[in-house]
Amino acid sequence: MLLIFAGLGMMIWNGCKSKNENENQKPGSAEQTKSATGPRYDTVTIANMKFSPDTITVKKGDTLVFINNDIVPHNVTEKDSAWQSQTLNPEDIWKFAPDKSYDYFCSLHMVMKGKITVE
Amino acid sequence: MKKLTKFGTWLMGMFIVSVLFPINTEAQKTTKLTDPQIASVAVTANQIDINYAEIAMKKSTNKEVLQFAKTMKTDHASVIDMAVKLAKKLGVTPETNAITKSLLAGEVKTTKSLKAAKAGHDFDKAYIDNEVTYHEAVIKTVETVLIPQSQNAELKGLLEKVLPTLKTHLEHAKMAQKDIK
Repeated sequence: MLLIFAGLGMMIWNGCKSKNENENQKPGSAEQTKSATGPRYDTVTIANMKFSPDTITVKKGDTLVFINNDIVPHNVTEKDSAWQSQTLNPEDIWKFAPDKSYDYFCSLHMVMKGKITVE
Repeated sequence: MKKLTKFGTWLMGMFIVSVLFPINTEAQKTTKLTDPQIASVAVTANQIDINYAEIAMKKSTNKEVLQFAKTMKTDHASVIDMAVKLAKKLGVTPETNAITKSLLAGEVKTTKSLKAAKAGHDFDKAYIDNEVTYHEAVIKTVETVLIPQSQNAELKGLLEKVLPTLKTHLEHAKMAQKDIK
């Protein structure tokens, strides 16, 4: 009985741990996760005044994780301002699940551009 | 008379060059800078562009100019913050030098002309034109003087990190320049 409780406790603890790690990813540590069943996470890194990769193809339902690894604040703004992230200070992260394809840019540095294609 | 006209043309040429290129290129070539002097140039160059941005934020009503000025203020403040933190870490006290003085002398002239420019199109054009010229001059100084001459690896690394930001500012300023003819 004690063993069952201990096992259950470990399972719950591990479940909480992985959820917590996912939400507090350190900049640069987020990786593309490919799950056959669950949603997929793809990363766009902002560094050296560029979105990298600047064009990305994702599946509907997937989540994009934007990480600001640059030395100045940025944002992610849809070309026609349909949506916009909050200002991402260095080391900030923003998650976004695109429902369709979009062109976007940083409205603080208007020459920084990117493209999301949803398959 | 011809000689006088030629002298007048040369004088005008020299005036334009000195206004357009506020950082003395001769000083760049001959001055050998220490790390504390490089830190001084870096902090001063960033602070000057913040000062120009503050004039624009008070004087302009153009949305594009205001956004650009706000970005300049934020970005250059971030760079100063990083430079000051690094200087503290390294125990370096920024030291005034020929390039710092040249930058400050250029700022006095430019500030005077920006304040004298008529609010509206005249000011917006003067501000953005200066941002293009200023960033071109600063990028050249960082690439040809500050990075090659910095001794400390962390200071060199910081200057290399700042370069893409300056180049993006230049591209952004050129884009605004096309809209404000």
